[in-house]
Order: sequence, then C-alpha cells, then structure tokens
Amino acid sequence: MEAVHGHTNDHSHDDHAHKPSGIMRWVQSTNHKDIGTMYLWFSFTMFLVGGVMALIIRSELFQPGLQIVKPEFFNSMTTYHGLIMVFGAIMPAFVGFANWLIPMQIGAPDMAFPRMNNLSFWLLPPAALLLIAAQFMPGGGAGVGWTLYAPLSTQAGPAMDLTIFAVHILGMSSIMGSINIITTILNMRAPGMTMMKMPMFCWTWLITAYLLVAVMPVLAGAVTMTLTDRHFGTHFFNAAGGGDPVLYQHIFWFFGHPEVYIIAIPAFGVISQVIPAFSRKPLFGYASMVYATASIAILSFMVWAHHMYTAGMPVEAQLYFMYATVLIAVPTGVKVFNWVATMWKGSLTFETPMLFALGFLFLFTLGGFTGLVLSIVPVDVQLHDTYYVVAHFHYVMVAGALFSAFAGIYFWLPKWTGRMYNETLGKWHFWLSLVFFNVTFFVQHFLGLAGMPRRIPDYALQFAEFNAISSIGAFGFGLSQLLFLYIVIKTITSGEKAADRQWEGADSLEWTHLPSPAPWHSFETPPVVK
Amino acid sequence: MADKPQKATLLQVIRMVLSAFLGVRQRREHDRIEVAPVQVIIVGVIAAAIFVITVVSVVRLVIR
Repeated sequence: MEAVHGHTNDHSHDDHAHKPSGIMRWVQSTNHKDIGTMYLWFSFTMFLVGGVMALIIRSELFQPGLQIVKPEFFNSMTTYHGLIMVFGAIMPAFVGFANWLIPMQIGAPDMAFPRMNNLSFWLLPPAALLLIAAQFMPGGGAGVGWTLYAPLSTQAGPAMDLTIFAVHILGMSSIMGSINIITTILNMRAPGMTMMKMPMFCWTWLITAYLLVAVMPVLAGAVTMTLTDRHFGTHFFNAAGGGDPVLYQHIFWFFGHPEVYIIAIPAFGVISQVIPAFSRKPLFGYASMVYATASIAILSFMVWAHHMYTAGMPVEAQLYFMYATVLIAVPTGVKVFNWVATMWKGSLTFETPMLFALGFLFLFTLGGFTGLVLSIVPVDVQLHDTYYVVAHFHYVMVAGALFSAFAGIYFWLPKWTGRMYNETLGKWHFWLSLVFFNVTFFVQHFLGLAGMPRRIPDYALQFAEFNAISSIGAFGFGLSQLLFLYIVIKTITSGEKAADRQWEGADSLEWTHLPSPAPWHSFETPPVVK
Repeated sequence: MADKPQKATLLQVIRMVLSAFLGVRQRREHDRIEVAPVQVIIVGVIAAAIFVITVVSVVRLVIR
C-alpha cells in the first residue's frame, strides 16, 4: 500500500472545523473521532460497572454459604454483569475502534452518515441507565440470566420491562452503527483502495456489520415476544397457552451464536493489524484471512442449537449441530495458523500491544479448544450449565475480545492522543492481567468438571478452595484495570510526544499519511492509493 | 498491472467459494480474475445449502 501523492493533512484546514466548545462539542458531535472517543469512554465506564457486579458475584462465592448478598440480588448480578459486559462494554468498544479507524484506514473524511452516528452513540447512555435503573425496581433486578430465558423472563418483575427496552435500544444503536459502517466501507474508499487492499480491520468490521444487521432484529423479536407474553396476553413461550419456552431458546441462540462472532471478529481484526506491525511482515495469507472470516460468519448461523443440547431435541438435531460446530473450527484454525505464520521469521519485538495480542492468541485458542470440548453432545450433557462453560466463554470474551481491545488501545493510543503511553506500566498491566485472568478462570474449568453449577450463590463444600482462588484472582484482575485507567489518563495528560508513525511496522493509511495526533478533520482530499 | 483481470467463469467462482469455506486461498489467484459480488453471493448461498444438506445426510446415515 503506497500513496502516489504524499498528502499529509496539515492544520491549514482547521478553520473549516466549526467545533462547538464545551459539552456541546460532544452532545452534537458528528465527528467520527469524537464519537469514537465517546464510544470508548462509555464502554470503559460500563466495563467498570459490569466489573463491580462481577466482584460482587466473586465476593459471595469466596466462601460456601450466604454471606454478603441475598440470592435474588446475586441472580440479578449474574444477569446484568453479562448484559452490561456484552452490550455495554465489549460491543461499544469495538464500535469505538470502527469509528476512529475505518475512515482513516480507507482514506475517507468521516463516516457516511455522521448525524446517524451521533444518534447511534447517544442511544447507548439511556439504555445503560435503564439496565442500572432495573436494579431499583420493585422486586429488584430481573434474575433471569443474560439470556433472558422464558418462562423466568415472562414471570419476572417490572425490572424485566426495563431490560427489554434497554435491549431494544441497544439493538437499534447497533443496527444504525452497522449501516453506517457498511455504507462507509462500500462507498467512501479513497481512489485505488480496492476491497482487497483494505486493512484487515476494515474487512472484519464489514463482515461483522452484516452479521449485526442480520441478527439484531431477531433478538428484538425475541424480547418483543417476551414483552407481549408478559403484558398483552400472547402465549408464544407459554406451554399452557399452546406456546413453547424452548422456542425462545431457539430464537435467542439464532441471535446468540452469531453474536459470539460479532464480538470475536472485530477482535480478530485488531489482532490482524497488531501482529504484522510487531513482526515487521505483512499479514500471512491476507486473502485467506478475508475468506476465512466470511465463512466463519456464514457458518455461525448454522450452529446455534449447540447452546441448548439439553433443552430437548431429537438425536438427529444433536448430531447435526455437533458436526456443524466441529467444522466451524476449521476456518478459525486457519486464522490462528495465519497469525503464527505471520510471526514466523519476523523481526519480533514485544511492546505492550504485541504482548496483549500474544496473550489473545494463546488464551483465545484455549477458549476455542474448550468450545470444541463442549460441542461434543455427550460431553456437553455433563458440562452444560456448569462452571466449565463459564470458564470457556470467559476465555473467549475476556482473553479474546478484551485483550484484543487492550492491544488495540495501546497500539492506536499514540495516533489518537499524539502521546505515547508508559511502556513499563503497560507491560505491568499486561502481566498482571494475564496472571490474574488465569488465576480467576482457569480453576473454573476444574469446578465445572467437578460438577459445580453456574448462576448459584451457594455451593457444596468440596468446591471451596477453587472458588476462593478464583475470587482472589478476580479482585486482582479488577484492580489491574485501574492501572490501565491510570496509564491512559497519564498518557493523555503528560505522555511523551508520539511520532507520526510510532510503530515502523504499521503500514495502514492512518500511520503513513496522518500526523499524531490525527487532526480533527482528515482526508478531506482523498489520498490516492496505488 | 498491465493486463486487466479476466471475468471469472462459474467454475472459478465455485472454487473461490469452496476455498473460502476452508479458509485457505492464494492472493495471486484473486488478482487474476474479476468476480462480481452477486456471483459470489448466489454461489455462496447454494454452497451453504449444500453444506447443510451434506451434514444432514451424514447424520441420517449415522442414525440408520
């Protein structure tokens, strides 16, 4: 990727920026960089809220018996921890990345629909408030699990209605964000920036955006049916009225499995930018990566019922979903192979973004393997709803998505802020996160294999040691993230000046064509990519 | 690039979609041929249907 015109966007255009000052700059913002920043800060705030909920869960589970919270409140915490982390922390974090990076990486001046972009973001805080307000409704938060399964969800208190509306709003925000991303990538690429020249991150987000448009309405349908069952006399999920609670599970997981990839695929995109930069080699098998990502996305629609083997289904269906799930591991394996091959004989250095990317590579692969274990029906019948499942999806969500987000933030922070983070502190953050993550979640495999069910506030005595270890790890992990907050704030306020191309191995347009920090408006004249 | 990429034949599109399902593909091959998105989508949907039918048939075979 090389530009003919070395068009660097200097500050001579800044007088075009009628930037409102103070709070209105953010409320009215149509600037992709400002909106990206807001997405990232919002998701970090939600990460802390969801994190506190996780620590409440782990505090209660530190010892057997009920010490700290009531069981109802515990159930509410497991529910909203899941909802907030998935919809409030991880997804907005990657939309934040998309906003910041996609226009710069394809040489566009901004997103295709800047005002819709503003609305996409500003729908999130009300949804988050609804989720938090649900805790204070009569009867407390809805302790139904993040999957909102019927019949619990059709019987829960008024908090459930707030939760349903929050899910509706979050879905609308995601769909609008996705339409924006698809339109931007398909229509606003700079001359010469063909699809197969785009950085991998743009490709992964294009595919993710299609997934979102396809499945968010399915989730909206599921929760709307729950809402009408609750208030308007329908019986979609009520067996007494001729409905079927298992129908809810099918609809939910038809959304839910692609959702796993909605979270994972942008994470793959970030890793596919970071590993080549620190290996000083182009991504191995770029075309393969694009095709593998697309096929993972298609196959993700065909495996949903592996989440519900024990809900009751014919053995033919169990076998179909088992085989299909095992097969989806093939393109995922190709991606892992490609990342490893990218590093092969590269000039590797191990700055913080690369460390997080390698942490991702190891631990996400481990989470993938436990996923394969769970895809085998007879094994899953034993392990369903145990801590083995909890361990599995935290390896995918935390070590997968979250570590990749950390990698991305350390990688692009110099470009975003114009300042360099403290490398020593960054490495401390990585090692503390890595160690405490494994202390927290590795032992949960053992708990699950020994039969400890998930979503319970009390447990049998034989699970005590591993739970105590896991809780200590959780507090360590939580506190380590405060170090991350400190590092980011310190970078913004007093970090050393970053170079325009801080990482010499990084070759996408934002590094080669734009100064650090990236100006408020960039690529008003599109660069020509050869 | 002196010569323009040629329009893809049906066989090439099928090859492309099948290699996508595996996730392995050479970049050189892509540069040589020009493929319309609609071709890929139609062949992709058919290939996905064949994939499902194949797995279902295998299941039938195993159950019998």
